[in-house]
Amino acid sequence: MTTDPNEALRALRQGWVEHARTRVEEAAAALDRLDAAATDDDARRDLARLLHGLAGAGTTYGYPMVTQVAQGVEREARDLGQAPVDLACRGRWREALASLRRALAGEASTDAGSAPLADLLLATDDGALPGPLILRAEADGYHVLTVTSVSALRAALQVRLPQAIVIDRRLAGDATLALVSELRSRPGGDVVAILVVGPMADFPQKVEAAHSGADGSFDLPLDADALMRRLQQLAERHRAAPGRVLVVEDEPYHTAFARSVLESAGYVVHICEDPAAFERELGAFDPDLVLMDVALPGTSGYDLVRFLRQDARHATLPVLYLTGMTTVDDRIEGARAGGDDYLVKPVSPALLLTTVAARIERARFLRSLVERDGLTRLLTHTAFLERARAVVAQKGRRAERNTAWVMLDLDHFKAVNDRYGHPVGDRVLTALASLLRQRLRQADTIGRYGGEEFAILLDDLDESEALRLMARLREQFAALSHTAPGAEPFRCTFSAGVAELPPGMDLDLWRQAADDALYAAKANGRNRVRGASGQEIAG
Amino acid sequence: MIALIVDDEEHLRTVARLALTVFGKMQVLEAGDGRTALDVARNQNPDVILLDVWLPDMSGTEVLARLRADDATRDIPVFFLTGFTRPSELAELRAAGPSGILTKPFDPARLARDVEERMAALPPRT
Repeated sequence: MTTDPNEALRALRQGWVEHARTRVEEAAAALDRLDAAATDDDARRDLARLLHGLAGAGTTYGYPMVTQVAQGVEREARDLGQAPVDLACRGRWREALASLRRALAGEASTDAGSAPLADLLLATDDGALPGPLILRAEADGYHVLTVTSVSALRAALQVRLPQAIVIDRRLAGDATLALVSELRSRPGGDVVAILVVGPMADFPQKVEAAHSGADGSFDLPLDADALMRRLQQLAERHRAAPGRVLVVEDEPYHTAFARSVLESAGYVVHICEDPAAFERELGAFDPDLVLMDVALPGTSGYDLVRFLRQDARHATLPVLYLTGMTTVDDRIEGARAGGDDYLVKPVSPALLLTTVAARIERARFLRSLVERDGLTRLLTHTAFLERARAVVAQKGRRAERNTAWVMLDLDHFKAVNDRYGHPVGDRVLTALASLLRQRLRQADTIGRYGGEEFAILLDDLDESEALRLMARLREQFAALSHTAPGAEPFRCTFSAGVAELPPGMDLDLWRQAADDALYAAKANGRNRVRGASGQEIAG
Repeated sequence: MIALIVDDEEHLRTVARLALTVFGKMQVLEAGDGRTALDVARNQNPDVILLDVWLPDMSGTEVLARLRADDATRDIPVFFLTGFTRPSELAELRAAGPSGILTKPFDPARLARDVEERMAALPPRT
């Protein structure tokens, strides 16, 4: 039996939402008991326990906000211990339960089969601002709601917390930044992207905006593309996999320290105790950052870093020294070898964590600039092939793991460009890219292969499963309506070829198989997906 | 590989089962409380146990202590799978001596890989 994990997850998710709603009502009943007797310890414990359960499942089912909100109340309830639950506290919890209710009610009514479209809440009273931004945001799959006053903004937030909020500085004036801080500190507010637009030319104001918790500030006239790129980047940050840290250290006390501090913060840690194994473990673990001791048996950390920097693949890998050697000469030597920073033992957990987090985020951002296509933010041709090569190499070791290569090409795209102009054509490309990003899984690899050609590696799917998935995407894309200035809305379709990777096949043959299937789909009339074995699903 | 999932939330067990069987090709046993978990661990000898901390009949740390005290189960790797994720809470759990800690909520697509990676990093069982 083949199980489509996404189908199965979807079914579970539906069931969980029902269950979670019941749990919220049970929690509300416990809160009623606390209203009757503020020291009812059983009621407080029931409440904490119910919310603990919701917090532990929310994100798993695609409801990160449920986790955020439920966790906040759960912790508060547990931290209180036996103390009476006062009126203000009960009020906060009641509000939190109401927002859980809304989150669970609102999203379940959308198409349960796919991630809900992202919401963008735009607060401005400038009639000229929304037009271009809405157009651009909708092409990226956002649903835009515009409000024209601060009170309307607050009212809209009562209904539902969006993925992104854009606030016009002219609307709230000097109170804008206070408003941003307030939104940020709401339950669930720390996962929302908050951007400020409006006249704000001088640097200190931008700094101040960042300090209040805004994720970005944009001057007028508004560059909608830049704003959407920033939103994309923020979404990637929340989706990013946990960082992987390779710790090169031979002393058990220090390895235990690094492991416990970093793992508590969610990093995946691998310890390399033997410098002789460094090269192999570096390759096998593929870290996002290296934490390097300096005094190692038989060699020095400086030499290992010099060695690492000789390989172009590791040119941007952040390296932090963690060492007891503190002289200026040591630091100079360390920097010369190619290390990025220097932490002196004993280092505080907080300093270690902030340094590691900042270095990893920055390195990922730099790599994303190099690896990603500027228009669609998908992998470039080269970066995509690099991933495909890794999959082929892995297949040698794990033959039972399927991967399907999809080659996808927009139908009659040249006609779109000729008729409506390149900016409109670009929006069609970004719309397709957004659809792919939203509907595919984190484990899948998506690249812009050429002008209007996209390539996808679908993890753990065989040809017929991949074919069904692509057929669904084909329907969804064909249903999208694109707009062009001064013309009727129009629709686009794509054709796709799918080939799974059998054991023993090399990269070129695999790509060729997917390409041939695409070619056959085109030849058979376009707007269809076709597998290398000849199976075809047409629109 | 056979994994035992111990959690009183049926939904959690179901999604973890799916995550481990579909994404990780593991076999999965389930237990809804500590007593059943000890029973299943003794009689079915799983390769790994994913153990919730907040169970109805006893705490996860107590289940762990009992597993470790029993010759039949002492060598089974045990990972806490928990929603207690504050550093102080994690430190307390780590002090109980599990093979590792996985946190909830988890990503169903990654759970199996996380378990496999952590298992691979453990010293071999004798």
